[in-house]
Amino acid sequence: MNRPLAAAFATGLAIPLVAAMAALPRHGSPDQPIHTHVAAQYHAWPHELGNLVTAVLLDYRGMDTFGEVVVIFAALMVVLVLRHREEPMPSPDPSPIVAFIVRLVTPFIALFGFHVILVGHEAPGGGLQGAAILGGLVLLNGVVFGPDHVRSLLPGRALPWLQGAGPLAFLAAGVVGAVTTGFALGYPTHLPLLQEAMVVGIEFGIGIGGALIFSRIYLAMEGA
Amino acid sequence: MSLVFDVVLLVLLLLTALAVARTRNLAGAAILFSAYSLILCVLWLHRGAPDVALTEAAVGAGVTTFLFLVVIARTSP
Repeated sequence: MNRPLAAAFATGLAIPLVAAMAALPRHGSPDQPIHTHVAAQYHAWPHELGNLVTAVLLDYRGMDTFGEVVVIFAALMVVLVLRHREEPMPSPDPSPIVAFIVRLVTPFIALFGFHVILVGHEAPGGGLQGAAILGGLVLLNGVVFGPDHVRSLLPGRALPWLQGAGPLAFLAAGVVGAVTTGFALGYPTHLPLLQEAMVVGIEFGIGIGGALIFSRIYLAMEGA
Repeated sequence: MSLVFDVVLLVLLLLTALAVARTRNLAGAAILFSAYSLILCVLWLHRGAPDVALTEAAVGAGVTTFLFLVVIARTSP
């Protein structure tokens, strides 16, 4: 392409961008619309959850989280469709120290992972953190003991449904919300027990589904 | 006091990042990257973001380290 023309185009694009950056309000100043308008509304609306981050992710911006969960599930589908059938690596031979420590620590990490998922609506944590912890645990066992050992850990016949547990949990919560409040994915504040059950159900779905997606992608990488 | 804490952690972060870039041993680089992620996790906690810190620790020091080790084992001769 014509070089001076390209240079002129790039400069002409850069000048308004730099001017716009310079015109932004100072970082963190308290009179920006994000603090006076959006955050003030989040504080004003009632939400029975103890963790404001979870309230933003699952309640105020629940549709965004739904979209992200569907995207992660779609990524797993793409990996499973496109995977290249190469032969699996020979089973590794772990040193006794590494094998002992991994076997000792695995149940505690699993317990902590489930705890983080279930406590996420009141304390820091939630579905994604628990999914990363549980998925990382499966990967650790796979790296040390080989993918065949790990495949026996995953559920058998229910696996396709559990992989999609994230989007399915959101769909179920959307239906329940539509029935009780008239909005899809609306949380019924007049039934606090049901609201808490919906949030925990979504967290659990994201947690288990995400962990299984991590595990399946790892197994696809190892040719299993 | 908290400024000193922040500055020390940031300097450690930079040193770890430089070490990751300059290491020859690939598996060692993966472990150093996990250390980088843990230092960053403490920095997030100091900023008052416990959810982000938990996610950073789980994903950075957990999943990506194991994924790096799997890929290094697969691609080294």
